[in-house]
Amino acid sequence: MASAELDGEKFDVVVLGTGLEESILASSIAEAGQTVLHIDKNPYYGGPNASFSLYQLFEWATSRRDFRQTPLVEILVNTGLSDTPTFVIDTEQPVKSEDNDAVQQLAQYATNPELLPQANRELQNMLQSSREYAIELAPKVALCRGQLVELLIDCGIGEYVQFKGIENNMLLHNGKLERVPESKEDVFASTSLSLIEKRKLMKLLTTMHASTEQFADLIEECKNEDFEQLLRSKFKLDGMLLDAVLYAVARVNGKVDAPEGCERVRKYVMSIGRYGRMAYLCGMYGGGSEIAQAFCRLCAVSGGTYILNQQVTDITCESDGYAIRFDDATVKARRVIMNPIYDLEARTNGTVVSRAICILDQPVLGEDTSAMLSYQSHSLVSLLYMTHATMAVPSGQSVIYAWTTGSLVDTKPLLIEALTRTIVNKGNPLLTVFIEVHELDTEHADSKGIITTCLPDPTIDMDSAVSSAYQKLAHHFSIKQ
Amino acid sequence: MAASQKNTSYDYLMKLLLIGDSGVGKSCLLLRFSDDQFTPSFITTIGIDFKIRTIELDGKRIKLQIWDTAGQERFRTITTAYYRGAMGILLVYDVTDERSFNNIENWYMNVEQHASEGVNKILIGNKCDIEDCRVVSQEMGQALANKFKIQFKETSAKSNINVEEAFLELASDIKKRLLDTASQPEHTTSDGNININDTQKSSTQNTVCC
Repeated sequence: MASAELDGEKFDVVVLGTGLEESILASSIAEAGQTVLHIDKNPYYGGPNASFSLYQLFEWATSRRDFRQTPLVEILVNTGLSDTPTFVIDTEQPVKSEDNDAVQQLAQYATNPELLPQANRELQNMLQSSREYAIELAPKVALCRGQLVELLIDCGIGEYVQFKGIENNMLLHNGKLERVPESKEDVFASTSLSLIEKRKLMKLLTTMHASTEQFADLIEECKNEDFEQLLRSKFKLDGMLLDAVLYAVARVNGKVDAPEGCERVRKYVMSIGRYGRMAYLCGMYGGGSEIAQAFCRLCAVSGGTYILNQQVTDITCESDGYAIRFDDATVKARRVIMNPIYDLEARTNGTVVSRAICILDQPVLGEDTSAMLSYQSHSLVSLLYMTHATMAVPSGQSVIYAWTTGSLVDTKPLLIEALTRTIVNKGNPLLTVFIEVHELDTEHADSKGIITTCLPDPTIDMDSAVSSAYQKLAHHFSIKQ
Repeated sequence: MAASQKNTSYDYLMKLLLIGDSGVGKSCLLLRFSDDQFTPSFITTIGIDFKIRTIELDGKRIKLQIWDTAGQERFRTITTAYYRGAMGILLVYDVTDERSFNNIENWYMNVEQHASEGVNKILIGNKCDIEDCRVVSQEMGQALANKFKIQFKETSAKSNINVEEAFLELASDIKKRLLDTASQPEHTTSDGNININDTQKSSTQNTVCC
């Protein structure tokens, strides 16, 4: 085992988990001159931000995942969206499928695609090009003027991490897919907007794009208002325009204060034009995982030590820090940062996000492009569409991710509805995976003074991981960004 | 990855990787080639991300971006992202360390698994200046290279033997594969990818013109 070599070593900080937030923390701490040991219990980087080949995805679903965090995975093979799952992999009933040994079967198929029954020829073909898939557990994109992009530029990663612009931002409205006009040129050129609607949107764009002082005045003026109310009263928005600003631009889920809503719209509007006409960027090969890996590399460049596939058996408090035990070694650290899944005593805290990954036989929204979509029903469903352009799937196919807050039992119909309305009849699902992700409580870790990181939240971009990391760096390590 | 329009001081950009066990001299080879330096006190790789050197091949200016492992080879935790877009790989062992030679098979498998298909490779037996301690003969190295059907060179970063030749040979092979045989023009491989550091395009004023 790798860790035996490290027995007795002391580090300033031990970081457990290589998700985006942990990786940002590790690299910043190492760059500030502290010694870092960074560990993942999985044989791959990225933790909850990981991106997988098809084989790895099956392996993760059947054996690698933490069943507290993702207790339920359902896999639909080549059966459309509404049919009963081909495989259900959950904790209470580890195996429940038409063939009764789904786990074993899937694992077998993953290594020997030729064993698959003839009926599953599509899955067979997919597994044969398993490596051409980069399927993300928690897909996220980057806002052109968001904190992540600024950080990537500052730390040098921006020199080599590759992005593509997200050309389309769409709203599922009254059963139809509507493109959201983004810039003034867009509004101006639009044929679907009336003159009055154009005027209203122009007013909004100009207000949100105002100078810092003018914008501060607006925030002061509306500080006690509700965002939706402000859009209705001050900007006279309603119908599709109101929904577009609320859901596709500000991505409001539930109630949001006017200042917060305005900040979101401003960030969006300011992002347009930085790298082209789009506000968001999509990373290549599953952006979150690639970016997390880039931060890990940066940490290593600053002297950080890396071990993957390493279980942690115990963490105990000592007078001057912590002792972290592995099977064959113990290391010491002044501070420990970890993803809550490394705390064996952590239980679910009630916050749940449900996700769908739908791989399609056609590039249903265009071959060489990516898109973000939103669908507002009783809660906001976010969707991301990706193709071979970002190396997410082989050429000729596409993947749509959809997610929302709530358990799968409650939200599955909503996710299916959003997917169906996006796909319309332009392609067929080859493989659909539903995942229920639970947050774990941090009480036990907190009581030991261990710093815990957050799971990827339901927001569409990666900035929450960055701001969460910044807060911890400032608070616990006096590292200011 | 091709030359972006903002920088026309080269015709082509090539990403090269160094792979091999800890202590075989990967960073020393890199520093010798990029800066013509040798630092014997190097213990583990700290501080080298990648180095750039522009060379000329058949009248074309080629910018080599050469990546070091950043020490992540120690526990075999090289990121899969490390291999993205790599066009050439130097598989390095130490002629005085049999284990590093035996491990080349594993590194080769790693490359096959994660790097793109058809990536050019060269096998490097480093530290060939230390004849007294040699345990891997030149014939053994050549035999392994033949098995993989790749080029082979024995080098010494310390005595500056064959370092230049090894990098140039790899670059020349890549050029043959990608440039001389490809029908598409040179500047198309980036396919509209966005480099977020290209900020000269950035202008928030774009949208307030009307």
